[in-house]
Amino acid sequence: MTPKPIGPNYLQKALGAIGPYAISLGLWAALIETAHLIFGAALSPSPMAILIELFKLTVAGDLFKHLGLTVARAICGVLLANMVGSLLGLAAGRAARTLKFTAPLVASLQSCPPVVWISLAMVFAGTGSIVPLATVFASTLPFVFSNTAQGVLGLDPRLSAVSKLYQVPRSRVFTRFIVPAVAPYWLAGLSTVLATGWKAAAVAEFMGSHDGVGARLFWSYNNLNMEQLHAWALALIALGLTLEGLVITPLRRWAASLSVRGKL
Amino acid sequence: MSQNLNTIPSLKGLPFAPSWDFKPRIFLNQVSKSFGQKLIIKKATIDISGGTLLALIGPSGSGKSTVLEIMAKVIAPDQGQVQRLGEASLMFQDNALMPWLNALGNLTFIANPKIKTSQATSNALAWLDIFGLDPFVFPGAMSGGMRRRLSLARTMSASRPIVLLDEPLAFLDEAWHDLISELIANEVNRGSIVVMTGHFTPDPLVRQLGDKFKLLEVVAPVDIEFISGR
Repeated sequence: MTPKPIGPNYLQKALGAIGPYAISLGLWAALIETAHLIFGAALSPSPMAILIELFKLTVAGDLFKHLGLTVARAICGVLLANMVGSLLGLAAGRAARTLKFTAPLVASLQSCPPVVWISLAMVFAGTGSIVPLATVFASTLPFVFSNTAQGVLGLDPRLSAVSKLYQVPRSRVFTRFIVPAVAPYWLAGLSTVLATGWKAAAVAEFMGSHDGVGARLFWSYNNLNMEQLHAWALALIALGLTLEGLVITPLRRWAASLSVRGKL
Repeated sequence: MSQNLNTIPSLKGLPFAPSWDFKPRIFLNQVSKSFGQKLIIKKATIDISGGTLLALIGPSGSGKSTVLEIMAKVIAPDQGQVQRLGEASLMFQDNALMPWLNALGNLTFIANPKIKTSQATSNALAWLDIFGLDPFVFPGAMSGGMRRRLSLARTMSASRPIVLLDEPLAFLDEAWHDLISELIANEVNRGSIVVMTGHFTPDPLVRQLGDKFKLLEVVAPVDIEFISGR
């Protein structure tokens, strides 16, 4: 009997998972190499020079220090926005009329570009951690508010009737009815604000901070250090992909599964 | 999970429920109700007291559920008054189960906060056992009949003197009808008011309850007057 070949299966799976990333990296390298050949090393470094610079930043400890700062600011801003937005959304969702009256305001805040919040934060707080924190908070708050309020508004009136009929205590109604019913909306909102939060944090750092990946991008641009500029950009993209793969996609899946379980 | 009809449980495990020390009463005084332009209840006057089963029998859309929901004070009438002596529990026509809570969670959700959690859990487990339901299965994984039984188990577990059952026998195999009839008769005999709706006369209940069984035929829009002897 011929033994079942196990190697190729693992190899195929690994290639299937890594393949798309390898192709993207290859395309990036080809593009950068072409630019390098056209514009020269002063304006466009070679892919190898960029990777070496990334390695140097990693060894020196700068890479993780600034990435950590950006992530921490994004997470703090998102958490703060979730706390405030969820409370406001829970209150507003109870009254459809309140939601109707606040809808234009929420829509305007949602469409407000982060640069507005950055400018305002810089006026009031100068430069530093407050700027990215405030920017992430202000950019994500309307999404959290809106999603939570929609979840509360969508509560099944029959289930509310059950709670009233049996005089279920408010704490139990909150933990076993409102929270599970609103959770799919809230998690979907959280995945959206996480996806936008870190980008907003990086932009805010670019304009109004001394540290963080955004600020490093600014200093590299300011000093025309193109190797570093590309290296930080690459680090930022890697951060986005990691967040997407490890946090945002699982959150979306979880929200979808809760949403399905919530329907009969 | 499919229920083997030969394993339908009996009332052996029924949690002990003493008779009420007062006489429950429902009094609907010239109640009317419309939804938009549609008149559902033209005029309903119903006065019933404990130890009575009132069966509202009629076709779909005749307003039976609306009468029950008004009795439960889930919806308010446009005109007329609802007076009740005793709290009500209601088995909704669409079950109104919490999809994210398992069978046990659905029962303990409505448990009286004054009783201990352990007692509420054992009470709920006893009712689930009577209705042949796995405590840890979620409503989404149940058949229509199982959800109906869960909804009925929740209503009965509330142990209230006024029990309102919207089509309790719908979607259930006939083999379950006897057990449910026995449960309903048990409630009536302990002095509760039971009001149920349906499309046909529940013969086993007529046999078991005799004079305590009252039948009211309903057609849309509801125009009834029923005052039982007190």
